[in-house]
Amino acid sequence: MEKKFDFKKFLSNNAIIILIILLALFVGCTTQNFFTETNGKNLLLNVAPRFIIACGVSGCLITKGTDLSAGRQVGLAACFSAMLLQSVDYSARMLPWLPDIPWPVALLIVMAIMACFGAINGCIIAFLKVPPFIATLGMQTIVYGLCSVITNNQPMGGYKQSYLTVASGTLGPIPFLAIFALIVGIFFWFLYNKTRHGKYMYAIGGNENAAQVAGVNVTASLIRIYILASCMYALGGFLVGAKAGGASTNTGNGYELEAIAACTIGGVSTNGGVGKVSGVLVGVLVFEVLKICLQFLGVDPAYTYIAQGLVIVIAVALDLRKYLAKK
Amino acid sequence: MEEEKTTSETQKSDSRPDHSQLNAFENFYEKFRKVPLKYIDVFIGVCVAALVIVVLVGILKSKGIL
Amino acid sequence: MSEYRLEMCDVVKTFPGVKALNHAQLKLKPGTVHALMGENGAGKSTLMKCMFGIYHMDEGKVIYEGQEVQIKGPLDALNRGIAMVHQELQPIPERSIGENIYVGRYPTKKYGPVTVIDHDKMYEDAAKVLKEVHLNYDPHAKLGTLSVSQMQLVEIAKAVSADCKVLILDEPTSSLTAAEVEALFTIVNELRAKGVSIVYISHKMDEILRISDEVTIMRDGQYIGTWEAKELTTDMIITKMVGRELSNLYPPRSNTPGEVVFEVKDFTSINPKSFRHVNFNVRKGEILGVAGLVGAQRTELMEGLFGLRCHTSGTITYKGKELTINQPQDAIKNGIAMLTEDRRATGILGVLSIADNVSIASLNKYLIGGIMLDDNKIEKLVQDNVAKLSIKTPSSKTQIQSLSGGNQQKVLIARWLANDPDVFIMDEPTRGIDVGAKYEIYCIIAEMAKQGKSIIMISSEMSELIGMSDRIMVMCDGRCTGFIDGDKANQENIMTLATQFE
Repeated sequence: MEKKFDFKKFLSNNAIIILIILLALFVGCTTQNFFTETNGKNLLLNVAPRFIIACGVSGCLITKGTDLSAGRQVGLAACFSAMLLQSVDYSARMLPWLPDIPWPVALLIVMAIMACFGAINGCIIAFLKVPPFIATLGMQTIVYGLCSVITNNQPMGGYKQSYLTVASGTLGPIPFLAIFALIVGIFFWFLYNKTRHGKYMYAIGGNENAAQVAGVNVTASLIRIYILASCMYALGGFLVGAKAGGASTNTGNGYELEAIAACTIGGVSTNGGVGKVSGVLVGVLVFEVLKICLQFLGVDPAYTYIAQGLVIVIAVALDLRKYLAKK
Repeated sequence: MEEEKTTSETQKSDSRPDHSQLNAFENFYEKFRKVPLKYIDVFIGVCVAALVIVVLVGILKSKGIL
Repeated sequence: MSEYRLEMCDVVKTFPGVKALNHAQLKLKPGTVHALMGENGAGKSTLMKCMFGIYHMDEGKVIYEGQEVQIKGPLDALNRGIAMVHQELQPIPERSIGENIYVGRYPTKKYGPVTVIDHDKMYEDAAKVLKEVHLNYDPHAKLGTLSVSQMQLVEIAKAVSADCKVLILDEPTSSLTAAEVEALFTIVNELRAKGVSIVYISHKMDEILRISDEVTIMRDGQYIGTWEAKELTTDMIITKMVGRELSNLYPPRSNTPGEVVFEVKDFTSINPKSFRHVNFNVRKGEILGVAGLVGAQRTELMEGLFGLRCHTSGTITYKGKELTINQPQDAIKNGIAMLTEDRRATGILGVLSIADNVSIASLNKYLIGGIMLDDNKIEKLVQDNVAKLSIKTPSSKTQIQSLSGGNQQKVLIARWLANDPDVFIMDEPTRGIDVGAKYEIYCIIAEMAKQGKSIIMISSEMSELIGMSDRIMVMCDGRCTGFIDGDKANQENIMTLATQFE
């Protein structure tokens, strides 16, 4: 009886992952060039920025919150990066008076700006006690509106070469994007496992009232979490813009849905207090592998969209099941 | 800062948590409390089947078979 | 046909780490008052919840009126004629008394295809029910306008209104005044005469011996036996409940209280119905018990001192220095620790490991280079405490929620001891803990006092207060009504001060 239960539990916990692995194997066997270095690199380039964004959201989810403004913040960040890093001699430059800025400086500026949005999210949630779902939903529309206003709804392009190289360049065989993702991954692993902030975060997620009694400064921790999340969206948007060579108000649209679903698949449950960086990576991989597989098979993007939606629904349903079964 | 009075009890039961203690997701999940787990399993099964079908249809369509 | 209206046979119920019910039995005859007694954690409430279908029994059966039944929940039980008045009230204060009485089973009427609540009938029935239990409240009035004890009487009315055959009263007099208790007994006698089987769960010996016909005693989830009430005395009941002689319940204490170190003056809550103008002090190495009825605001007072609730006036001083406490961090920095009343809600971080739970309040002490946590130091802290407090756990990485109540409580105590507090507030420290672990915790408390810590212990168990305190502070309805020296304390003088309503 015990053994059978474990198998079922394993299946339900990892159903989606198993399905995707099967799909990948199927595609690999029936098509050519799937298990190649180019394809692997492609996967890595897609995974990297999504992983960074998902890491940002993970903190919000672990503390039983959410961040529905992630996608639009990514978009705004991409647009800010574009404005700061367009080639000086580009005819349709957004900010013609701006001197040439090195991309690390631009990145820091964008992170600082987006951190403000994170701080606002955090303050509304921690001080005004507005439910995160509502607070970030509001922020989502505000950010989108701001983006429209600032960019005048014009898509931007004409980036300077050094910015484009961030996305296309490599260090030996490893793409720069992957290095960014690696650094973020290590940083978050360290933060979540080896620092007080991480412990406080899990404590708040596990039982906010008990955490407060134990002396955890819940308000400060929450604000820090949302600020850090926004910094990750900034980095993600910066990289997404570099990769695409352009940015517009549509950039990042819907990214939060995938990021949250990826975290959920990866074990960051809405039960709170639980979640690992490795899980986030697995969740993001599931989505990107699914996309690449279907792309390789030449499937119409519309079907891919539907498939992704179904994966999200299954992830939430499994999480719901886990929640109800627990109680 | 809660102002409610608490009353003593011998053993706390697994009672429904307060509306205020849950986040948005959990408030949503609580609505399914009355649904037997079996139905949720069926729903998940249906979605998985749908996923497989969508992928297959997409593959077959791309190959021009469908 | 069996002479019993309701039987519960061989009931087994296990929670993670705890066997709450171990072949428990209960047999109810019609027209009798059957007392169910046992210490906290003996399994009384659990057994009742199994009967009601709130908990699912692992083993055992319920036989009602000769047939085996599976009761699916409180509403199903109510429909069969089994009603329960809970100890923990679940009132809806913003709604009217009538609505509270009929919640979940509102009388309805149809307007064609549409079914709506028949408010007129509901209030008519509610008025009748209230009259039956001799209460003259207006059924339209909001429940929140009543006091806690009055709400409890409404709960009783609710159960009686269901025209039940079995009525379970779980600590029904915990918030009632003496006059209200008499009113309750009148109702109980009337119901008994009507043939209702009444289960009376209480800790109050004199009430039990007065009102009940039979007494069933449980200990540690097990059925000890059933006796006729007239054959029992208080001492006999206590001995059977506890399983050992009264004199061995509490460890010998060798703490010597010193000078006054912790003083609280004129402490008043921002809520006018809560604690007000409370003055007390605690000496070094002293155990101050805090007694009072449910609703006396003891927990609220301590939460106020710890920074979990707001106060409008009053001062807290430690060794002469005034402390400003607006949130728990302030209290902790000033050497105060608090073990809360409900460890599941505000104590343990359930999904986290024991190591995390022990270290969470003192993480600043285990840093390498000011940022990184030293896992080795934390592990050592955990192992030291596991040894010192006899915590039974497979490893330091085990989730705390899989431990038994007693071990969870010890982990929480370890958490606070890691900061070496001077003042340790404990709110019902042995609630929901089996007898063996209780003794271990008493030893820990005694040891802390011996080391010079000031302990403030809120407890609703009279014998615990008398057995462990050097001095007892009694509260009633938010006010401090008096102090009693430990060796002069007894049930009478504590209860006298605890019921000194204005």
